[in-house]
Amino acid sequence: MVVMFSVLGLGIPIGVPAGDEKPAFVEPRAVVRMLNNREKIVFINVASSLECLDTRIPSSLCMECGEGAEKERAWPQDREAKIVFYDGNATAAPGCEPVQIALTKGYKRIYLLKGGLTAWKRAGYDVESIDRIPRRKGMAVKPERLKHWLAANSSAVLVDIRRPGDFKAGSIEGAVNVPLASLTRAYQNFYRDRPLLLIDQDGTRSFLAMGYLHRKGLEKLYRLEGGMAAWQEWNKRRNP
Amino acid sequence: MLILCLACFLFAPPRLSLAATDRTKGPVRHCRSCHDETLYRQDFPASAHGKNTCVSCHGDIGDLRRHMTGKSKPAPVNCASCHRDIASRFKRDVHYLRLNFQCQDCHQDIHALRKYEGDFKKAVVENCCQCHDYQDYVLLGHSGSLLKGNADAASCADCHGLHNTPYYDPSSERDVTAARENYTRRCRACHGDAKMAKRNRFSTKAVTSFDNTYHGKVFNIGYPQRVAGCADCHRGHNILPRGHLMSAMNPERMKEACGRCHKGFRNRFLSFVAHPDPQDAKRHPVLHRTNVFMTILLGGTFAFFWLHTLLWWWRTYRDKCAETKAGFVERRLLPECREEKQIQRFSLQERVMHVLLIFSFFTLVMTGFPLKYYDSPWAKIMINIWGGAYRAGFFHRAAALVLCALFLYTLWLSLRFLFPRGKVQGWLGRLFGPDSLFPNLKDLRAIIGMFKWFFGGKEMPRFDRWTYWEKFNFLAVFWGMTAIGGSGFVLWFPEIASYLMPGWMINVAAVVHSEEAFRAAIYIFTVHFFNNHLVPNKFPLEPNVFTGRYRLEAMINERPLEYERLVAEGRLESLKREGPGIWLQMFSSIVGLTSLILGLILTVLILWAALFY
Repeated sequence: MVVMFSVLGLGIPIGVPAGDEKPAFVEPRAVVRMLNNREKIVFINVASSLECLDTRIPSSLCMECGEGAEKERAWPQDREAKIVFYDGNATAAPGCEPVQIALTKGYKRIYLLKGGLTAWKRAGYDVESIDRIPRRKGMAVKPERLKHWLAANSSAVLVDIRRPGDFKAGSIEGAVNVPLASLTRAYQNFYRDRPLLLIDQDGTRSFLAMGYLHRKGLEKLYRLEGGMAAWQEWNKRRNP
Repeated sequence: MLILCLACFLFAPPRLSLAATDRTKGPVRHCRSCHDETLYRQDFPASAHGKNTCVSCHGDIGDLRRHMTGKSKPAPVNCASCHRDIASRFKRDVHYLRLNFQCQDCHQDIHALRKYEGDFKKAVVENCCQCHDYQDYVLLGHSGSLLKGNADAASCADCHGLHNTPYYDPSSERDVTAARENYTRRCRACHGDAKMAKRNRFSTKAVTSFDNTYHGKVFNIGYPQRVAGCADCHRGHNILPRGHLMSAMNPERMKEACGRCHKGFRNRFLSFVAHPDPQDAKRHPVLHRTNVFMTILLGGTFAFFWLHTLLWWWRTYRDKCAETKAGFVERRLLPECREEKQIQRFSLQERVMHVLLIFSFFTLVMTGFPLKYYDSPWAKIMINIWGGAYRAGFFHRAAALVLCALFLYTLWLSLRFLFPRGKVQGWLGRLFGPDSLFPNLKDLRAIIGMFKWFFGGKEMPRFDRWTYWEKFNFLAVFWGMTAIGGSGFVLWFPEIASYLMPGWMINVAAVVHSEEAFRAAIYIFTVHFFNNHLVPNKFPLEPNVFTGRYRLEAMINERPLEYERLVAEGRLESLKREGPGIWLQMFSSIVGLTSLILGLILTVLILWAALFY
């Protein structure tokens, strides 16, 4: 059961998990208030390791969705510790494996940071970079011009860097799924002489992927502007 | 000792301190001994940062030996140590928040970066378009002018900001509203700038005409949550002439633009004019004619009734002075006048209807006029008292429904008066009879007689049950309800209205609603208030509409024909009642005087806004 209430009349909802069956949602300001009260908080970044090392809330653990069990040692011993899960630009999904593992391990106070790392930064709080990937300027292809672009770049490879579940739910014809988490291994198999169009969910992660691939020596890199969300929106408008 | 010192100097690991390096170029030489590329040797000294040394930015290289052997890597440069303002603004920039961009991601050639000597706006566009689609900007209506060198044309930064491009979460209503406010403000900054408009030969009417629509008024009064701002219709990057296929305003795409907010309309809805100009007879002929008609109606009504009121006040005041001078205190013409009994004038039902009318009318005025005069200082205060534009809208519509119900009920009563128990015979007699509120020839004679009296005539015309101005008040409601009520429903349900009429009729309805509301409010608060309450012999309040009865003396003075008729018909006695009780008197005084004072305050506010805003 989740009890929602406002703190000090400021209208900041804090989710307090009264039981242990569901994680509660929490605003960045509420987390900082907990920190100021010297409460023990463990931050867990559930984005890919590339993203986590690029930017994270200071002293976070990196445990991307899809893993968690293999990082047995990383879990805090104290079951009373507050665990705050966060994703990059969105709230971490409650169904994400590390969250589920935390629930089965019996942690009492599990929170999902509302709005993820973006909300944290937007609230004005600091982040740290362990291995920042310099971003690279690169041309974007808008969904409405993709067809023409593909005609002009017939050898192009469409690389969908979303998680496999999202890819299965819908993808652009001809795209191959290389989740961001596996990019560190998969980049070696990419053709270096063929243009690569990176597709993500909302056009934000492709910048990071582009920076990483550029660091690994790939040059002909493009992004789908707005990602799959923009592509789907454009398709919806075209075929209502 | 000397040898020892020399050995220390030669072999001790060199340490670089920021304090020292800021004052000397010495450490640069150390750096160049390894970093001797053209970029550092030639380009960097000539760059915008050329006056700095290497350690001005890379100040954490404390141990040169560890650095040279690759054991320690320099930390990322903190540009904020010098560019504090930009850095603090960039903390709110979407590129930082969503993409984790840092300064060097856009300013990649930092060691060779020179102050841009060409067109700064063009440079901004070039830089942004290294990642963002250039076609997107080129398609934007502003681009052609900017690329030709027009410094007034908008670059990316003029709309989106530089180093503080805001991030708006489309799933958050608060963010969507903030975005609407921000971009509309930025559009207005140029399109409402008269000097810029003159320089570039465009009209600022796009802004003023938007301000006069429902969208603009609600937006400007501070509640942009549910109304359209500029980008809601024009979109962001395809602001092009209507004829262009990519323009959001192209007739083919208008349905999509309107459909983002309005659902279930017919195609004719699209002829609604979002930037109407009632003065423009060429572009909006019907709207123009409607506006002219409403203005004439307004002018005609007030020219007659204000003159009528002034003359009446002047004559009554003169008579009153003369009477006081003559030592006359009170006239008591007949023995009946001394009786405490009063004459029934209004039934309980009529009084309840009038009180409901007062409440609904004031609610309508106090919720509608702040929107009409959104830019006057009192408008925002009044709309906030109601709890915002949307809550005020709710009360406005609720009051309108009460008024409609009253109107329909009055209509029913009127029909029942004309055709009692379904009897048609004699309806003309009843229509023009003394109990009817329909004007007849006697009224015309009464008007002439009244003006004669104003200008020195001996006697005021003799009235029956209803005077001509009371008949006007009654019939004006029929016209007013048709005009304001009808147009109000069109504005309330514009999509449904599109099943009956073209979209431009919504513009016509807006003009009619607004102008007729002004006429009604000012008429009631000046003419009606004066005729019934503020005229010197009734001042400050005539309570009979609340108490339902009045003194016989007043009846004999004000409606002698009715008195004589009732006496002749032998009905006078049956209309005699006890005087009103203390509670009824208190109620009538409180409601009556409060309404009078509130009405007069509203008159001042409305006229102030109409004249100066």
